Amino acid sequence: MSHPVQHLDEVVHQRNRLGILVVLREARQVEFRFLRDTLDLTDGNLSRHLHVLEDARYVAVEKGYEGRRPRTWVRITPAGRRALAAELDALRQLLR
Amino acid sequence: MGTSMGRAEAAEMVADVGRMQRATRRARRAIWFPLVLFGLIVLGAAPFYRPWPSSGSGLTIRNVGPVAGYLGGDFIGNAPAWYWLIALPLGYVATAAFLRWHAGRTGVAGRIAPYVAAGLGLFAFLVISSPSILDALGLPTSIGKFLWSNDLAIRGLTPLIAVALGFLVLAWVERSPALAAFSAAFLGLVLLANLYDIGNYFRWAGLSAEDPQSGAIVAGVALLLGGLGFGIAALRDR
Repeated sequence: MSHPVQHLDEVVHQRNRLGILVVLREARQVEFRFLRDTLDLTDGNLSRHLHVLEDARYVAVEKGYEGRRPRTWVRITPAGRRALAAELDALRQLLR
Repeated sequence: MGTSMGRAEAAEMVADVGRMQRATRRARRAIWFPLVLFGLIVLGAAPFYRPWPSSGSGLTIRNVGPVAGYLGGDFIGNAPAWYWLIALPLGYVATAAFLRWHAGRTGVAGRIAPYVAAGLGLFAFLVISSPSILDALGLPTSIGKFLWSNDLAIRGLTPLIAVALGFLVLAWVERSPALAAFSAAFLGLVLLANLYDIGNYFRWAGLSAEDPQSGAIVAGVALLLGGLGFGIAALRDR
């Protein structure tokens, strides 16, 4: 049997990116500033992590305006849900 | 893969996951609002229910108007039916609007569509399965009687069942065991209010024993108390 660590996905297996996916899984979509405040990241740091996740097609980012205020909404994709579930499974196996 | 990790780090990450899940759910949930709103809507229906007409052996089905049937119109006039037809859809629209505003404020948007669709769908089913509507559509009214037993529909409080089932869907969408437990208890209460003169239990509160109005008052107060409880819990969580 292979070691659970071998099932960890490099994209998801990073504390902040895992956090982003966990938060996104709990909602239909989440605004950029909520992610930033909840994960205690800077704007630049969060943007970099979102780019990595977007490139892997694990999240979708939608930019728009509400009134004059710019808003960036992020949602998890089905591939992101699958990757997150696999990561959490691997973590739990490690704890057994 | 170059990943290496120990049990301690894995345990820390799993703990982080739980903390973030809870923070997101706290920000997303505004369960108190639909409970309070529908509590007020249900209480608002009470004045439209009048005491049973007592005539010897009991009641005679009047089947008045186009929207009577299971919306409270068979025995007690059309007023409750018209009230439900306007108030319930407006209630779901207002809930959707509020949750949209709440999502904009908190930055977390939940899945509201299944709740609104279930609530409106159940209500539409009630309307369509009413004998008067089936009759107008040229369909046998026995279909409605098959779907809704007379015992269940006789008090004209069936819209409360649609409201209770809608809250069960909201509990599923919100993954809230507390709301699921409350909604199940509320469903039990409204089934009782439909099948029995629930005012008998609340004579001490000055409610009439044989009046369907009592069922609307009890259900409305139950929703308001539930909304109050969830609101206080949300404030404490912050």
